Amino acid sequence: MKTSTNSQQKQQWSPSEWAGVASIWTLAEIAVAKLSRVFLWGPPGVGKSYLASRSGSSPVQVTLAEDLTVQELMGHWVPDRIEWHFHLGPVSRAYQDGRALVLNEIGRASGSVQDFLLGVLDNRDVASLALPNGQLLAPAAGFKVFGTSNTGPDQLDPALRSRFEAEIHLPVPNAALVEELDRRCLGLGGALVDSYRDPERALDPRRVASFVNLLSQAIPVRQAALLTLAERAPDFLAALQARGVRLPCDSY
Amino acid sequence: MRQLLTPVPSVAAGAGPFLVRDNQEGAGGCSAPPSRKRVGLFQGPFSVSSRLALGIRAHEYGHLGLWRERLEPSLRCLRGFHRRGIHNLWIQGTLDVVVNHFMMARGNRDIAELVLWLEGLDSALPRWIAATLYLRAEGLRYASLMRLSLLARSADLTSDDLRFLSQTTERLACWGAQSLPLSPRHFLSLLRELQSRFGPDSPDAENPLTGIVGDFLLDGLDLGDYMAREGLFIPTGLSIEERCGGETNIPWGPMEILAPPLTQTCRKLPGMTERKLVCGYTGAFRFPSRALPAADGRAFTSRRQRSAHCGALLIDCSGSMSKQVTHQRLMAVLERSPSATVGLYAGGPTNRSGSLLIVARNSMHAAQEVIENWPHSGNVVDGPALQWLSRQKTPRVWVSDGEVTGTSDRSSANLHLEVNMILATANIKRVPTLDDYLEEKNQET
Repeated sequence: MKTSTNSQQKQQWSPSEWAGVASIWTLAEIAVAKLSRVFLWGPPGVGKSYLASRSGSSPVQVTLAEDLTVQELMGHWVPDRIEWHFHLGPVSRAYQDGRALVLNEIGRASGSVQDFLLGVLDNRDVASLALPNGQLLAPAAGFKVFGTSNTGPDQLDPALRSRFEAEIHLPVPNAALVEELDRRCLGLGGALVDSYRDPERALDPRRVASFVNLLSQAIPVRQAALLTLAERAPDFLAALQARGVRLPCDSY
Repeated sequence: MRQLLTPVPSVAAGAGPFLVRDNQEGAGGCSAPPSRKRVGLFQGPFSVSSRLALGIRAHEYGHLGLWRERLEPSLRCLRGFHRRGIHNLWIQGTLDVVVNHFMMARGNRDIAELVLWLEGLDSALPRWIAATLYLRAEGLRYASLMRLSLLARSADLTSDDLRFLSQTTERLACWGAQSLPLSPRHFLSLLRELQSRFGPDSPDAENPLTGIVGDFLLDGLDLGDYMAREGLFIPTGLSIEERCGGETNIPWGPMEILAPPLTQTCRKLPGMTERKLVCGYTGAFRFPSRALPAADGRAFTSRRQRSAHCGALLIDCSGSMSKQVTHQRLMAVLERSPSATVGLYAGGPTNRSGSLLIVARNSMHAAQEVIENWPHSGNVVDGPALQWLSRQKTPRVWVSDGEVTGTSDRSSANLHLEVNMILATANIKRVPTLDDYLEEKNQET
């Protein structure tokens, strides 16, 4: 029987430090470039899908949901006057063309979709996809699958989980996003990263990016903060002031 | 339950995590940065968004900002001042002026809305109390009114005193506004000067304001709380082990997470046979009208499992609650929510520690014997169990009568506060009994 206690949880270690890299994002970039089946998980907005979508040429992105059916992913028959044509779904198309397939929110897929993905995620040596039109597809060179999720890999079906070659936890925002925020507004990237030191109350990177976008369009600071962070706006601005973050507009 | 705002103390402090506590507007706020072994503390009015509440919170962010930039003397240094005979109220009052001007110079307008008392002052005000209040009013929106109100009392402040106080506040405001580091030596000499001129004689003199307006600390770092924190054991990281607050000191018991092998499948349970029709592009041809060119083409239907609760369910199995948690009821739950993660928790037989038993996950559940042979008694680990639940998938449901206890199965207000905070922040819904939960599920389907 597997057991864990609170005292064990206290002994935190830093995976990136242990692996000798500057950030866990460096490892993630290596995995995305070198491996063909990678599971990325972490809080919303940190840049998981962005990283996955940068791999390969014209990646296919699909956001899974419980009501999405296998047919929508694999393909289905479409009427065309007096004939029916088989229309390839995004998964089959990526499989056939050798493109990267980014499956967002993979943990939210229905049981049947997860079962279907078992075949898609199989090792290249044994993988094949049988379509309802009788066609048998083999994965073309360059076919990669990246699964992203907000929940950990323990929420995945064990068989599905084992098909990924790597699983990477990305608990903080992408370094590229942080640099971009810092470039546009000195100190804001650091503030965003520091907010993840208190993960339960971390800022949403998408909202912070929207805040900066509004500022760059000459929207007053308070209005931009209220639009993007709603009731957290006063606290957000006060914390930035306490930190000495300089916003594009001089006045808070 | 009150809607709580989510503050961002880690942004101001550049460190974390924090324990966030809500209190009434009139009770002010307090903050303490995290250290290597302890989480930080950020307390203030988070359930209201009045101007005063905004000011109090901005003030606390200011304290953390000063700490981050190492502009204020360290806690050890401040404690040393007190040991050397300086009253806490002087330390706190002067620091507050620095913090307020630090924030105002950086463009914060909310902080000017702070007020120093809410329900009036006694007509006879000790000289040293009047002086600290006079000092603290500096820069606030209602400073003139508050100072006039002070002078109208027999506080015995001469024009020389007022000149001296004005010069002192100018120095403090300059420190804050220019973000200059507060030299401990200069700060101590200033405090000595203030205390020798206005009193009190003893660093432990009773603060009469506490009796006048309840909790006086409307703004600022409560040094008493700050210092007492050293003796507290505040949760480390995301796990809660012990907490204390007020006069009681009851910690949660240590919790063990038991993950037995899940050998039975939930997909073959009797309730799982019901399936719903889903329109799509394959299956039986049922809707010819949808095959028309202008329609969506989804003329075919296939039968799919009914959508069910796929989040997490935490069931309190302590004392009276344990009678209702039978294998039969658990199976009824899994029929309706086959893919849910289900955890049972309770204290052990001695009530010194507790355990959480994961009985279902990923559509698999544990054998009946595992559940029946799991020893359980009181609550003891409600907090750690709810922390576990907060890390599971949403929707999160907690089946409990709401009673929470710590070690030795004793209850206290701080444990209830902790649980309420977790429920609010992790968006957990409490259902009193399993029957209520099943009834809700029946209504949904």
